[in-house]
Amino acid sequence: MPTDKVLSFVASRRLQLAALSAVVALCLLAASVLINAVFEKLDRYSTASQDGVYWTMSQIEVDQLKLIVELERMKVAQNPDFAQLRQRFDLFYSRVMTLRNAAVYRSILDGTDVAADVQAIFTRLDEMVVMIDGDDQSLLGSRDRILSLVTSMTTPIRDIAIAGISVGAARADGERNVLTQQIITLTVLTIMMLSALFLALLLVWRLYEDSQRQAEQSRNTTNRLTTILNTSQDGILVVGPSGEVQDTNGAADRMFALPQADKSSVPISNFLFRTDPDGGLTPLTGRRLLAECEQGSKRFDDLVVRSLDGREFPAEISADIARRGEMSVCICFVRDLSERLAAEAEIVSARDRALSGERAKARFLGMISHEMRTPLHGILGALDLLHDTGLTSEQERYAKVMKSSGQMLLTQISDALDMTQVGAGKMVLRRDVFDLDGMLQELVENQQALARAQNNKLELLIAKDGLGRVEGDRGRIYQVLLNVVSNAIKYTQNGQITIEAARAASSPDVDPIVEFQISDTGVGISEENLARVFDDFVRVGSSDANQPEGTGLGLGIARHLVTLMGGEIGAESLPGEGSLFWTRIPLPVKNRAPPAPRAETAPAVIAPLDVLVVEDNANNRLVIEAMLKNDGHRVTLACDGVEGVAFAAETLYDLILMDINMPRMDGIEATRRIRADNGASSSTRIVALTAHFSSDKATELRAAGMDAVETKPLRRATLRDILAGIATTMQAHNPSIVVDNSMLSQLGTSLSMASIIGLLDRFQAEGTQIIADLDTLHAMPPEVLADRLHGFSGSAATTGAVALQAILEQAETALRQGDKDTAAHLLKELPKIWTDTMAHLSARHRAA
Amino acid sequence: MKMRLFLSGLAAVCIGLIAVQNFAFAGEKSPVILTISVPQAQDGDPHQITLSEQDLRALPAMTYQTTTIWTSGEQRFTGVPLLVLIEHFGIEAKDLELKAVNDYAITLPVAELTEDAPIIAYERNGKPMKLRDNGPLWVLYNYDANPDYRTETIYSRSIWQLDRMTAVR
Repeated sequence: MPTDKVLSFVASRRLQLAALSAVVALCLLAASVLINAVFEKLDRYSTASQDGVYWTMSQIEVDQLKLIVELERMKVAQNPDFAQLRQRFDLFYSRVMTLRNAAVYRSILDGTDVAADVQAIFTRLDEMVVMIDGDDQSLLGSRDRILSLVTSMTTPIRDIAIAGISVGAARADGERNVLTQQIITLTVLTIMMLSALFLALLLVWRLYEDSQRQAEQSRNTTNRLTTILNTSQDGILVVGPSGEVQDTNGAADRMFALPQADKSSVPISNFLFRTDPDGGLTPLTGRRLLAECEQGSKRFDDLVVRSLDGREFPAEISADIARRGEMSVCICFVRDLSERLAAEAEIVSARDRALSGERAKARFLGMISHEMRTPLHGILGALDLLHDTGLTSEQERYAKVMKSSGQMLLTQISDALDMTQVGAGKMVLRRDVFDLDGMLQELVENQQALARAQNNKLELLIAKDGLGRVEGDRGRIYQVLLNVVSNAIKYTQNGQITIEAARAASSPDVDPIVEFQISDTGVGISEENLARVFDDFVRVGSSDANQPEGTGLGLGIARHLVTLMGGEIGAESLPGEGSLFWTRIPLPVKNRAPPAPRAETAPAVIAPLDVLVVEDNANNRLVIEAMLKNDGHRVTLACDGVEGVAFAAETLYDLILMDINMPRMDGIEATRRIRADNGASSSTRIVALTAHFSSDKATELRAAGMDAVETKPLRRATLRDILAGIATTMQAHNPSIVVDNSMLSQLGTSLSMASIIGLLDRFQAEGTQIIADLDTLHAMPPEVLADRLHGFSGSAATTGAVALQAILEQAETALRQGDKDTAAHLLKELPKIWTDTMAHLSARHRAA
Repeated sequence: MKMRLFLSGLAAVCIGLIAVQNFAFAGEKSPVILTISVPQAQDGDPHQITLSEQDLRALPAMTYQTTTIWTSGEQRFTGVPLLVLIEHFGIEAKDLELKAVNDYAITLPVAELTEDAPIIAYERNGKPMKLRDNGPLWVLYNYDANPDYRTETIYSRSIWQLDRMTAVR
């Protein structure tokens, strides 16, 4: 225990009192023992153990002298009185015998030097007794002898008397001393006891003062509490077990309009009610209140107060039980909730207004973006077409400017749209399997020109084996990386931008994360700004004129997208040295096989197709029509859903491109009708064109019968992909189109006839070999077979043997996916298609 | 007190007869061992009552088993209570003066006499006491029975070799 604690403990009144009480008790005990001793002593004085000692001692001498006188008288008497003599002797004898028998004399005389004297007296007495008890005559004869014996006793008797006196005096002194000592001790003890009692009294007095002070303090506290309670805005009630109001504060009196006098006559059930689940009111009884509070303090906010003057308002009650002696009372704090509820309602409505405003803004932004994309569709599409119309170099330059500006505008609109979607939580990912290496390559190629413009070197570093085919949203990953890379290019001049991509873990099965790092040697980002670069709508850096343009949405969207994909993104930078942006995105491997280089699908490979375009915007119609017709397709145009449905019912089209938002009948309804009508094109592939892609929309469109959804503006490359898909499928299922003659025609424009013949001969030789080897091919490992088929399909593409190419590609895909049965099934068709193809080619060749 | 007066009255009636009888015996048989002097009611002259050992033995006796400060060991004393004796003879007195053969004398207030103390012992351990053994009569209290009897006053009143008694009014 620490010293100050000990001190304070010692200083505590209680301990002092206890110590003093102990002292008093000890003194009392000692005093009682002593008093007992003194009383015993007094008792001994009151019961004397001895007779008159000195009397007896002196009487021995008297009796001796009387005996001597009697003996002397006998000497002269004529007629001696023997009886008298004997009596004298007997008296003397009995006196002396007292010395022998009485305990007190024995104790006085034993051990002293007079013990011998006593013994001598007894011896002489014994001798005398014989003579005294003899007859008178012999007594007379021995008179002288007796006399001499008695006389000889004089000295011993005196010695005894003197010894008795001194022993008695010493004894008396001793006893007096002991008694005095005891009385002194008793007095001291009494003084001590009195002192202790006095101290105790003092202490009790101080305790009394302490308790007075405490009482004063508690009175003050009570007064303060009373003031607090009376100034409280909450109504405070003290409620008895039967619900009577025992006490209140001023606020409660006003709140419930209680009468000034006789408050206890009003039970709380007269003015407190609880709201039932069905909205009714149940009076709150005292018993119910106390029962509720039995388990500790309780709070209800479903209270309704009906004050005695008729006011009604919602209230909250906090209640707890307090014990007043035997009786329990309930202390209740009642709070008028009407103001709070009003304020809450106000806040809720303000929030609702703000939210609905926010929603309207987002809707507006989305719509505006959408509306801007539609005309952009026209502009960009027309620019694509313009490019093919043989422009002068000056015109070409202007068209290029227009195209890049339009592209930039489109990007920014897309960003804004993405932002609204992210904000609304509507962003969806389109997961698919794609070639990650190819995508990175494409990114670098696309950005190379921009990089060169800033005199930057752009480099891609990936592992030798590549990252392979992965599952993820190709478009979004591309967008994220593009954002970061284009930023790096923008903020770097005469520098180096490096894109690195690698798997985080050695085995992608353990951890599918792919880490991308984009580093540059640009201006860098200050530490302060680094923390904000991924925030929405933030453009870091000074606002001077040299800053590259942009909305500042790019990195914010990148962060949202990466988060959505389950990844993370971050940046490090040294101002002046450069920046490093990294992002880690889970991209599971789907096919470990390294993708074989694909033969470029030339536009002319596709056989002419019948396409129905349903689009209300005349410009867009014009652009799409031109794109299709330029590639040699037959186009039918419809201005709205109604027309589209009519055409589709009459004619069998290979493809229907369907706009969504149209007057009279929208694309969804039109699609539904086409599918339901069982018309000529009821099973034709329908691709929806929308300016605004969302997962909800896509689901709705697919439900209506759409086969695919493409976003506007529709670019020529996209359109060609769609058409190629149709052609491949058709050719695989429609062997009537075995060879695309346009391919050979095109070849004819660039190659000499001899070269074409050589090419065809090599194709024939390769095909013949494959067909011949067909039976043994099945025994080859699937990978090797796939590569062989791949090479052959490349040759087929070159010669325009579309049917052959299609079946080879399908077989290759099946093999790569490990589906050997399908591959074998497809390859069974191979000899027949080969025969057909060769027949077509030789006919053509002959014709040429 | 009334009882005592009544007894005194009764004793006065019989007094003559008893005195005659005592004198008759005293002369013939036993020696007188106690003489009581009682002043006459009429003229104040002393009137003598002489008693022998037999006279005393004829009165109601009492025995103490007690130690004394003058003897060693417990003793058994038998005698007649003093109060019984004076009531027997109708003696009215304030004090009694008792004297021994050796002329030792004490004064005993009658008011302090009780029914059973003191006694005038005539027998010690079943035997009469001789003059040599502090006899023949010894006024004794039952010292062991009551601490009040172990005081100097009581010890001084315990007169031995008693032979005379005088009633004082």
